[in-house]
Amino acid sequence: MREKEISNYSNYKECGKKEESSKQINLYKRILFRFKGNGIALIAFIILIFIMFISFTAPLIAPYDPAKSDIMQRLKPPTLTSPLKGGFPHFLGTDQQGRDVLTRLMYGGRVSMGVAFTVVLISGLIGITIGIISGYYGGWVDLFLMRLVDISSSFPGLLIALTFVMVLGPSQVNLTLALLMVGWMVHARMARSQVLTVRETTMVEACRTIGCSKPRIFVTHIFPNILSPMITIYVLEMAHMIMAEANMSFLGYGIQPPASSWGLMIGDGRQYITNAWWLVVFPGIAIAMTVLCLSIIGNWIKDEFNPIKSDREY
Amino acid sequence: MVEKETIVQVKNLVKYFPVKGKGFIRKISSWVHAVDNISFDIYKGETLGLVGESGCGKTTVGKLLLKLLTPTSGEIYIDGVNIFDRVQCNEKKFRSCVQMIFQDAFSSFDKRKNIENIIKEPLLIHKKAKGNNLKEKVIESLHLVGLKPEIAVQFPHVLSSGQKQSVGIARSLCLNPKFVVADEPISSVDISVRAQILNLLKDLQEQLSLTYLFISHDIRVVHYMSTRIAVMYVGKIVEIAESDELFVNRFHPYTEALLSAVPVEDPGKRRDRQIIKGEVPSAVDPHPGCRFSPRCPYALKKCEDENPELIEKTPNHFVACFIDFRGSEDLEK
Repeated sequence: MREKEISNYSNYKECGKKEESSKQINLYKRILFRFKGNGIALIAFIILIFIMFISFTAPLIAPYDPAKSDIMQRLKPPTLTSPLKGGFPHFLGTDQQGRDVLTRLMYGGRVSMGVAFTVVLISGLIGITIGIISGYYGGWVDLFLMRLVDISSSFPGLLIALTFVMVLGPSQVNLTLALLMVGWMVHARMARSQVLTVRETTMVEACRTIGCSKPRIFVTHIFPNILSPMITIYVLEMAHMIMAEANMSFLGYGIQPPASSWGLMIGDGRQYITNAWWLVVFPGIAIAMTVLCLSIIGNWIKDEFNPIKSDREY
Repeated sequence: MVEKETIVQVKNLVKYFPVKGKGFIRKISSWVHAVDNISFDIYKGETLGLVGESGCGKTTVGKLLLKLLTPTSGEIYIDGVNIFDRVQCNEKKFRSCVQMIFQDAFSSFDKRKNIENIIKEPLLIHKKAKGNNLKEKVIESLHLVGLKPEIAVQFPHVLSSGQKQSVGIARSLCLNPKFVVADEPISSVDISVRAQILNLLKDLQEQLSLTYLFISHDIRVVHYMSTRIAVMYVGKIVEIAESDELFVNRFHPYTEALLSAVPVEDPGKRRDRQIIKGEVPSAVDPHPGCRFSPRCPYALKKCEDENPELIEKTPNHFVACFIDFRGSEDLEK
């Protein structure tokens, strides 16, 4: 019997080894494996990485200066031929001041995504902290914090953000702060409801019977279990924030020229929409693609991080 | 008769759950009398079966024994220590000495952890093993419940219902507890492997000299498992007796009805069933008399006004009933 146990034990050890070695085999293969059965998510992921890469390396790869106007070249339609003085063609045309649309799109993405990501990162941290405290402690703490959330979300978000920027003056920092003020409630609500659901499960009872302390239950059991829906909300909220930034800039209370952002480009191009379609269409496509990709990835994460649904062999 | 060693002593245990009213203030409008003044002892090495229909407070008793709930009043002594006394009761020691087997094993696991980590956790918390020793302990526990060590790297959702429950048992027993509360351990298991789980529990009891409180709604399963049986009805214990004795002599009309509901395999032996009419009374603010009186075919006026206490009718056979009822059946006939 003892022998049998030992042989079983070595089997089990090998099982562990196999798993470890497969972890090291090939990082790329493993990443690709994660997307198995969900090609659309893979495409969305690649497109998003592409957009982000181009945006964040804009100063290195952009063909023109985003702020330099060239009145001779104003409102040129998209073309493949380079302007007379030589150099790079205006692939996506030029705007009313003769600035290259492609260049401004790249720089604009930097600002749009920078704002959106910062807002989601910070508002997510604030929201999750408040939501977890609220859900975990319950009682009066919960009542107070949730009424705070209710009050904050009962005002129209855009209006608050607009007022805030109007008072403090439009700038990227103020825009970020304004969006933070209207963005944290979603995370708080979501985190609270997740904590409440997980807290009441038999799992927590079982943990108590084996002697887990409260902090241990929270850190090793509740937190990992609420994480995946939270990440999903994070990603979806990024899409939302890109839209919000675009709205604010479109209305003139966000990014100020000569800097560019996707929303601002649409706002500026609005006046020329009848004779220069490229001024609004390309930033519009950029926003739509980014938001769509983020949504698809958000949904993918939701399924991927669910240990029961992903019927993959580990 | 040899004096048996008491391991668990429950004294006048009461647990009421508040029912909150609607509205802003949510004032407590009434109380659910889930467990209402019950007392019983469990002796070392035996299995006490707790049987009753759903909603009668069986699981609440189990949870109280595990300190998952705090009682409204009353005491529980395990090994002579009042478990609700913070000074007397060492939390760590208590946790390693009393364990629970859950009704739905799967929902009691962290679905993000594999079996190895699930079984490891109690060992880590109580510092029972370290490093390589830990792995060996995990294997030992799996071996104990008849599972292969290879299962350790699997995640709980890929296991069959029987395996899930076995892992649940392995986790409960890896700390070498003295007393185990088995809360309907087979209700989430496929019928085909139920007997297997029951026999496993019985074998383990012998091997590790465990004491069980076996909670179930199926009196035949309880009869198979237990040395003594306590019958519960809406928060009260109505009858406690030796398992075999209860099947031959019963003094409470509810027990009689419960036993007559047990299906008989042989159609020729079918007898008249005693079917109790009416519904289970709500445990919310029940009337002062015997809980069973509205449905009891023999109820007297006294039954509706006064609550009967548990009295010893014959040695080791306690009944809470005013009526001199004697239901017995010759199993031979």
